Amino acid sequence: MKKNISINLQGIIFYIEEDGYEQLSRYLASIRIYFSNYEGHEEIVADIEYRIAEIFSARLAPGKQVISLEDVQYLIGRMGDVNDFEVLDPMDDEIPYTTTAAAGNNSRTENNTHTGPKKLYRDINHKVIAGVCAGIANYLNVDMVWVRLAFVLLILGIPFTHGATSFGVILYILLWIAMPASAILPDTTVKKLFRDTEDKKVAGVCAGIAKYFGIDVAIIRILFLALIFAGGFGLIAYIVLWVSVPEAVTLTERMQMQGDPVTLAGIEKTLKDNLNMEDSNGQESTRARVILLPIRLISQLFSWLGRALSPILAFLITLIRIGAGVFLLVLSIGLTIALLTTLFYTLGWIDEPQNISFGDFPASVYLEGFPRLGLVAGFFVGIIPLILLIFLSIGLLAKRFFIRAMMGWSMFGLWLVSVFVLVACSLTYAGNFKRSGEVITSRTIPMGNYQTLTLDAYDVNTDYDNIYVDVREADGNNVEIIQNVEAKGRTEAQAQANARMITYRVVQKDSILRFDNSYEFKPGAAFRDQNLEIKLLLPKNKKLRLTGDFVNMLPSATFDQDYSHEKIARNTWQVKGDMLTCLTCATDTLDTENISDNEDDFNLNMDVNAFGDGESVLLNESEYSGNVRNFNYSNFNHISIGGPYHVQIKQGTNYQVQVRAESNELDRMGIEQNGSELSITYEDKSINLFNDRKPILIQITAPDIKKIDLSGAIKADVNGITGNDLDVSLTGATKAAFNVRTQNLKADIAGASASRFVGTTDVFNVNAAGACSIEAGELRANRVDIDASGMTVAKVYASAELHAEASGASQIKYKGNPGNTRVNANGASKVERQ
Amino acid sequence: MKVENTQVQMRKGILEFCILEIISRGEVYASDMLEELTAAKMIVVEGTLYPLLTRLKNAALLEYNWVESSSGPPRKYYKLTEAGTVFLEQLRETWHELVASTEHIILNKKS
Repeated sequence: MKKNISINLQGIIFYIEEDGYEQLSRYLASIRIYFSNYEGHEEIVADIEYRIAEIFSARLAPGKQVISLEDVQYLIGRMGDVNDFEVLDPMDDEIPYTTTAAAGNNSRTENNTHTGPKKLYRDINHKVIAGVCAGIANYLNVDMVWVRLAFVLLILGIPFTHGATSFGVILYILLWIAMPASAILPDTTVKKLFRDTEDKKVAGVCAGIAKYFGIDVAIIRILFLALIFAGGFGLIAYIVLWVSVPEAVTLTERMQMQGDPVTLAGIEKTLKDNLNMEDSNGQESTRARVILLPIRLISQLFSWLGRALSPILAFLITLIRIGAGVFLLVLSIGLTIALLTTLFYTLGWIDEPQNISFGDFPASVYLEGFPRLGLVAGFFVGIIPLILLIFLSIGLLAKRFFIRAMMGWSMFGLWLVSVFVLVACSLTYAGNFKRSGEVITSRTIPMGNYQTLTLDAYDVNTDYDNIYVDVREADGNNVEIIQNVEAKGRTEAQAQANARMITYRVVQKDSILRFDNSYEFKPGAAFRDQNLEIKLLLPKNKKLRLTGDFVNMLPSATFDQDYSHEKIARNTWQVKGDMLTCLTCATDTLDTENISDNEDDFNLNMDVNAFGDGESVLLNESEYSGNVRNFNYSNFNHISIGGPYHVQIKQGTNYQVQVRAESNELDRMGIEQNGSELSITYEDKSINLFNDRKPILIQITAPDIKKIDLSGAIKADVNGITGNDLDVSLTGATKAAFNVRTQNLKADIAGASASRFVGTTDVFNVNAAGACSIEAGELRANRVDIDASGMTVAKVYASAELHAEASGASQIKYKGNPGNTRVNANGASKVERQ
Repeated sequence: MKVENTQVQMRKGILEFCILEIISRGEVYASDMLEELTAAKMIVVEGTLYPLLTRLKNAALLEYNWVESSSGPPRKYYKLTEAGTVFLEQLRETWHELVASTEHIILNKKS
């Protein structure tokens, strides 16, 4: 018993056996393809089907109701298959084909190929760029695809060869020049891989591969999808194949694309034919059945797999599409709402400006003064891409895309215009930060009655953190609060006006002073980088208690050590200099915290000869700015400088303070005199992306200089100091050279400073800690008292007496012949005579 | 060069002429045409004939009628149009001229 299938040819029903059906459908398919480029091909095929119906009708009889395989083979023999059509009626120029078909035909029927030994030509007929790859493939009798793939790999660059990219391109160009072109290369009979653009989903890569191997296209697609998800290799492979595999355009190429079907039915037939597996009845022998069983099983499996997986595949793709669409839609709508809200609120249509804050300041303050036009432009810059995203997501969901070219381009144009407007407005707005100005107010609070003052903080409940509190000692009984507000503006006057736009309160209740922990903006204030620095002058004879909240407002440098906030709040303090020292901490043993060891942070390589030989630390005068500003300070003998300055200090008959810097740099410099102390600081709270400014040079002359404090990253040249005493302190990463003639020279050097001393002194007292270097070999001293700790390297000269203590990993080398030496080296330190 | 290719070229134009001749005698359908051609030793298969018929019909040289058949599917019976008749007349003339010229050249060689 056999299974039959009912078909209809042009409306006439036939019953046909299964194997006959297979062959018939292949035959019809080949005919359909063959004629597909003919004008009126449907009619031709219909006519042929009629003819087939006629022939079949003739074969049927009352006893034979079903068309068998033999009938189909008879039909094919009689009508001829596609190859026969081809031979007897080769394609005609009159018949409208694609033009490359005609060209392809010419190369075959004329058979006018090159004679002689096979030379390497460029195949113009099959070129993508110049036919180089096609020519090479023809010469080597391989499929073009492999040559193209090889070139693509060469150009993309195999991972191990760095120069391969350009090599591939150069090679191609060389071959392009060297190989002559030819349009009449012989057709090689190589099975070729094409892209099937009729059956394509994206580019026909999978369909082409499927046709080449004769496997169902769904399986190839599944394979590619799997490769894409497993690391993206599939995507790269797909794109590479898209580029290198040619499209099957002409009819011949379409036929060639089919290749030999490696179907299981084909294998079955081949086996049957070869092994003579039919017994006398024409039925399959048992042996045949056994051998063919596994093949039939696999065939069944694959066809089942293909049928089962197709719907799943389709469903998966739909799922991904809808998921992506929904996600994009939600995201873009959310962002649009946010953007709209910002716009309405900035245009003033929504209230409550103070509640929304960006970082340190409320948002309203940032936007105040920003031109309306700029805000609207900014809105458009944001909204247009979002609108596009919304359309895209709707398109994904609905499988249709709504954006027409005109609309798309006009939106793009609007977006560009908005970008320009926004940039222009931002640049104008930036002008608001050009100059800076400061406003100083001071307030005196008499505290005579109280012995102990308590400093507390009041939480203003904003997130800002823009106050700097500096503690100083004062005489008398009064607390003085000096508020120094610095702000930016278009002009200095406007900057000062902006500085006045903030309010700050300190409230006194008996012996308690409550400080706001942040300043607030007056309504209508604009963000202009306002900075409040509070100098708190506390009487040095009062005892101080600090609350934990207040401690949050103090910089850690206020304390001489790292204390926990609880410890600070528990104890009583006193102001000394510009720090607070603890009065009761000796008896406070409540916490056992470790103070971190900061010495690891210092640079390990400290070159004692950091100065070179006799060269100044400073640059040539021409390397500094030409803009000079003189200050009218006098009667000072104590110079403190902190910041990234170049400093030149000289002793002279007159007082002179001169600064060479650009005017906006001068804005950053803070200079003031307190009694006999001239102090220069540096205020720079902004980020400088381009650090190619000229350094600032400060030149100070004074007749009598007793104390010099340098901190930060100063380069200093101190020359000609004569007098009795000179007290020098260097911290941070200063680099200073001193030329002195004194009696008592005291140096406190810390951090990673480098110092050089030249001249003469009676007593040289040095305290060095950290990773400093002290080059004092040319400072002839009678008595040297040096205490070096950390990783200090020091060279000294002592003629009479030397008292040297080295600890940590320090080194002290001394010259001279001191009679009295007391040397103490601890840890990994060394003290040695040179 | 292969001789079959040239032979095919020679046959190509003549086939059209022969088909038009056969149709000019009266209404005829495709398989009858095939029989006659095969009997006259003009080797033609369905795959060649049908495209040609369709082309001629599209060029308005032929027209057809559907005729029901008792034994099988309905059949297309072709006949020449006015234009087709004129076309055939011109082809006949060309054929006679070609035969005359070719014979002349062949005979010329011998003498």
